[in-house]
Amino acid sequence: MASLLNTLKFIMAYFRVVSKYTLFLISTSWIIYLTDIKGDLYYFLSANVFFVNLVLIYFLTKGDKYLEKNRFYLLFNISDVNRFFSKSILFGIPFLMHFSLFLLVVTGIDYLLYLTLFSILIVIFSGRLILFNNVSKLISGIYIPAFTGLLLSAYFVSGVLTMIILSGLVVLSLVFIISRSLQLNKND
Amino acid sequence: MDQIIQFNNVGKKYGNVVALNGMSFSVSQYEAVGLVGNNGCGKTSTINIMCNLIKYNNGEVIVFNKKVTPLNVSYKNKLGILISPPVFVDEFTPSQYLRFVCKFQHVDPKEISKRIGDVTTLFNIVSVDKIKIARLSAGEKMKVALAAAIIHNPEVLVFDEPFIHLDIHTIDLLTGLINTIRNNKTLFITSHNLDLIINVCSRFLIMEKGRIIDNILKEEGVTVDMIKTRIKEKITAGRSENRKPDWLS
Repeated sequence: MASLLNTLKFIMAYFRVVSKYTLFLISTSWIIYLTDIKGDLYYFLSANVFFVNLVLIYFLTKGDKYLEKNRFYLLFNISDVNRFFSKSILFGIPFLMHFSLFLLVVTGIDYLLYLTLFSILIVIFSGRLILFNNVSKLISGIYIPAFTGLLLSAYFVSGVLTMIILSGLVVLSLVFIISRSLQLNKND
Repeated sequence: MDQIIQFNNVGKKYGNVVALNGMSFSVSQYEAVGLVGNNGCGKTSTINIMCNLIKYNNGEVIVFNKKVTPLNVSYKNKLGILISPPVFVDEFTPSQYLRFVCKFQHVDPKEISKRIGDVTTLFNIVSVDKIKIARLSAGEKMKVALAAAIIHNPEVLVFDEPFIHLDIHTIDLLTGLINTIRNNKTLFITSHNLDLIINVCSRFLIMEKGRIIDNILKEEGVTVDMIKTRIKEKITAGRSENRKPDWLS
């Protein structure tokens, strides 16, 4: 089984070769959110930059589809989980940059709502990881709506403390799921 | 001798098309086995199942004493696999590609550069660092695929059609290489080129309609021509003569 580190190196080298300009654009265009333009133009530009980046990141994650189809990953035992982690690191960091700056700086939402949305993102991420472990679609199907619902209701009816506790719980569950995934990966 | 590969009554279907129909054979350690048969008889499916690239529907496949299942992939590092068509990362240069192959195949990091240098020199792969694999000729790509298959010094070489696209010099080199290392390696190879496969193998499995119909051993007193004739007889048996279309003058 190819290790996570080697998979990450491969994914980085691959995307650097096939889409270095797009990656550069995604990694640098968040500066727009911090510019000193006033008025509607700022919101127009920022919203466009955010959504264009979302679309670019989405299509970039599919950029190695042909390696799946030509069985390269199968041939060298590169697991789905390792690829998912590697792509999450490569694209997740610029995505979080855009996500956080857009919400906090451009729209100016309060930290509590940001924390809620951020926690929901983590829930979706860990839900996807559960699916890789072949546990069952049912568990993932319950896990994501249950946690998301809990987070949203906590935001609407409870205070800061409940939200922080819940978000902490989400992060803990993520850590647990990741360590479990890595363990299973190692055993393979 | 230990049996490295075992196929026990293996079946494989693609939709309604039967690719393997009760395929059974075994390969012992240090044996050089050639699988021959007509187009569509199931040779590539056999290799793909052996290398865990596709699932089989029934029967049992055992490689290195472990049943081949989607979760049992650890044995693949012991195989030097060349599938047909060969698999590449087209956007990489040969040296970039071989470097990652070494990493995935757990080659000692200190050894990687030396091994890349050795195999590219061995197969005379030009433009190792300058041209992307996508822009190489079919023959050059085949050399890269062969280099990738042997670079981690595997115990078993599993080659599907290794001679296609190769120039005469590289074919000589490959057959020579196989003959040099075959005492320490197990070889399982498919090819339509009977002369070459007879040159490098010691046993031949003849396949027809998804199963083995004959097993020929290269032994003393049996000449290359005799083996060739027997293989040809088997794979052409029951075939009607192809008629040239009237319009093709």
